[in-house]
Amino acid sequence: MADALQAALSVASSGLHAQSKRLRVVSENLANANVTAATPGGEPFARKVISFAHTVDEAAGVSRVRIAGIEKHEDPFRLVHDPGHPAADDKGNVLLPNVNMLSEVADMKEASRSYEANLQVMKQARDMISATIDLLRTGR
Amino acid sequence: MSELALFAISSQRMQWLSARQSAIASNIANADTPGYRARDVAAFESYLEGARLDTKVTSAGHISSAPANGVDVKATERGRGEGKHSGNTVSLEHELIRSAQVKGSHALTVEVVGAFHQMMISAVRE
Repeated sequence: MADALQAALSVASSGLHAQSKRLRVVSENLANANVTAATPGGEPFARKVISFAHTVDEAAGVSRVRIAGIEKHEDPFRLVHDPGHPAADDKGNVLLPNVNMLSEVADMKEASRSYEANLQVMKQARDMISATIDLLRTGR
Repeated sequence: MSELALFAISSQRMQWLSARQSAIASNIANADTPGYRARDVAAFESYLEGARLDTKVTSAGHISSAPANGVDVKATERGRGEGKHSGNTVSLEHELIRSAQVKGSHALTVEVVGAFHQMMISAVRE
């Protein structure tokens, strides 16, 4: 328990890491929102989702966040009739990715909000550490 | 109460505040983790049992109630909490407010220790 503030800093950094990975997944989804299959009738880009889990560090008495996995989303693909498209199957249908712009943008907002909260914790813990060290300054 | 007890209590207070800040850090880091239950440390008073009334030890049979060296502050799950659909009970706003409160209390404790140290130094110099 001697270094609880250092533990707070490491927990906040695990949060920053998790949220930045989440933002990366969102940006992948948005960038590939219209990517179709390379072969006719093939499957397009599948939306990815990130999931978090916590790991309890008994020694420091804190709980860090870790990435449990990045998986493909189960939502069905959008089907569009476009016979001239290179990825169209023999009936002229093209499968488009299951990326939903609205939910991706909402996810992005939430990720950046959580990222800011973790940054704030880091700032507070750092200020507390430097306030304690300042006690040693001469002239107090 | 001896003046050194004040330093001991301040040190305990700072340890408790640090432990609380790390519990808050855990909560904020896990604000989006499904099934995570918000944690907090017990009230500071519960770590101060006996420290407020510092009884004098005049015989070997007496038991000193002076604060022990260091507090072992454990974070436990916070009881109440409305909870989200994912089973997570962290409220980001509340945690940030608590974090600011902890920082304020810590600054106050640091000031008290500094002021008291200054008083002791001036008493020694006289």
